[in-house]
Amino acid sequence: MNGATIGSVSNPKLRTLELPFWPLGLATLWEFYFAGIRPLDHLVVALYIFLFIIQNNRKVDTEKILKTYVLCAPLFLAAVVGALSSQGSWRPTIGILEGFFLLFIFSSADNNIQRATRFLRWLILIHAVALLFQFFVFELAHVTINYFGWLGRATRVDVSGGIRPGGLFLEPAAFCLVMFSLLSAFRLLGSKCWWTEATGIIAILLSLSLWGVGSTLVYLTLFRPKWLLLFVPLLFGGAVFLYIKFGPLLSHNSILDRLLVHRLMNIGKDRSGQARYGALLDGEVHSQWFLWFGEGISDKYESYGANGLSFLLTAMGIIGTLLLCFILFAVAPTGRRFKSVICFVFMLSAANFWTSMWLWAWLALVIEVPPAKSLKSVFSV
Amino acid sequence: MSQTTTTSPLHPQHDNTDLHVSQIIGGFRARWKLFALVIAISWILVAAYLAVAHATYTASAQIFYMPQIQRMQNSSGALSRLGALYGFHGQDQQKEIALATLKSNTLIRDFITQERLLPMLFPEKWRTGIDTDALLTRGVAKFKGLINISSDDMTGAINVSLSIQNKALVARLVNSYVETGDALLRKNALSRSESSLHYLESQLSHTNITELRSAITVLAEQQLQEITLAKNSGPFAFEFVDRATTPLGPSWPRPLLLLVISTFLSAILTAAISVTIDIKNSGYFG
Repeated sequence: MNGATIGSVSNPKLRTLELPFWPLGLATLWEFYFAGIRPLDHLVVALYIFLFIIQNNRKVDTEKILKTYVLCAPLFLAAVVGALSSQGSWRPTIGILEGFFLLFIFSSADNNIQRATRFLRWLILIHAVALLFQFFVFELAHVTINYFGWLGRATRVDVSGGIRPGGLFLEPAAFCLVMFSLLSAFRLLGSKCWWTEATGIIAILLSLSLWGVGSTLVYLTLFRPKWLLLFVPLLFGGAVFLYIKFGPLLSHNSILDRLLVHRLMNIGKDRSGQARYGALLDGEVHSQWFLWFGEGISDKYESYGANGLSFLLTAMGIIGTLLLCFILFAVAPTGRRFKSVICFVFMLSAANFWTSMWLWAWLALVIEVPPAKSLKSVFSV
Repeated sequence: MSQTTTTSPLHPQHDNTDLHVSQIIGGFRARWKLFALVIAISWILVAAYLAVAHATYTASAQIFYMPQIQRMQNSSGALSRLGALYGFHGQDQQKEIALATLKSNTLIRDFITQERLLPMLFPEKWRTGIDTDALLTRGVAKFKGLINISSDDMTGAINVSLSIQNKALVARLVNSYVETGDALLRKNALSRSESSLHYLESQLSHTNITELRSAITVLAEQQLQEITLAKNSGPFAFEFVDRATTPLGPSWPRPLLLLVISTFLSAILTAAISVTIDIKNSGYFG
């Protein structure tokens, strides 16, 4: 796709902007940070800005640029308000502005959907294999693989009686969030591959994350409703298999019992759930205006709970949050609008990753043109 | 895509209906005056904001979670068994509970009432005879936005900082907040132990089996030891490393930071306007 042909003459002026996907893979490794800074995220943005500038004789996709504007406008307004009202807002503001750059540059390119889905498939497999490796090494050798050891950091995967593998993340919920985003982007771009999806889902379930179980149900409902029918018997079958294989793993007060069954049965008292959503349910706000319209981007967003939705509610209030969801609904290509918005909102319920470049990459992928049109453009250029 | 022969005024070499990266970058260069104007306007707005904004002062204290049981264990070998029971295995969990208590609504509510902070939190709404219960709930939410409690995983230190507009009061409030949190943890521990002891005593009076009485006595002894430790004077769980001191200057607004952020935001806004003009010039809107 390096040259456009008009008649029989190749016209280099009509080449479209091409960007590699592989740097986005670095953005998924968002938990490799030092002193609160994610060097890989900054590297990814710098790399795309560099590529954007050096490929200056390429045409850009104006329609997607305009979509980017609409999507970013409410958050830009929230950034301005936050910059004036909160002394700690500059850090998340810088992160979000970097996200704007990434979204703009990535959306301006004519991305090859086939390459994008191939890249997503690789990412799903890499992350899943990292988790499976961690899980099986522990089960077989009782050694916890710490991918963060070289940084001198301890993972939060060890619990008494076993581990909750987190793969290339510090904790299982972060793994599940990224895996869910990868799987959903894979399907939203129109691809299907049963074994890739199954590998991702198995990895999520092995992480023993409650949010992961919820994300599996959401994923299956949206993209694999037939599998949903198999989910319960498979879960039961898996439990029987694990019992036969590992025995004590399923006994009373075992890791599986404590981390999944007991938490599911006592969901209202779950500490992790309380931390993430407790404040959201309490609804304690000190101003009706802030509740509806927000107080701008702020580092103090936990008044509604420790999640991305709380960040959005703090920044833009209920009205702004609904507006952003509506904008995403409007800019997402026809046929996957509802699914895009549901996946987006569900992902925000896991953690606050607004300043992670992977969220912006996900948004850039989701507003991509439908596969049919994309393929046409690939072959026509 | 239709091909037209008219050319862009910025980049005559390109077709008008296609927008090129070089056009976008060239547009930025060509419209430097627009960039300068928008940035200058943003600086004026920042200056106006600085003139009217109320100064906020921040004071911070650094503390360590050091439960008394662990302190006793470190200084004396006599309680090492008890320390192992309470101190080591559940140390991380105990610290989490202590941190959660420090951030809890209960503590904030107690603290606001104790320090009579409602008039400071809601000066515009405060008057005598107001429904303080309703205001207290909103006060808790507002206070949460003013206080910041973070734990450093590497060093284990806990940082407590508060930002308010009263320079003279801020440091005292931070130190007092930590002490109130410490007192709440002590009260909770006492109440838990006394309740357990009461239950064990009632069980002891209902059994004559020697082995069972012996086991209950050991448990009761542990509860008594914990009550003794909780009633001990001095800090119960939080040890000050650095007490908060009165800040020298305001923490907000910060003129330099505001200028940098406003420059960044206005540059992005102008860049977006510039690209929109380029898109319009390319004939996208017809």
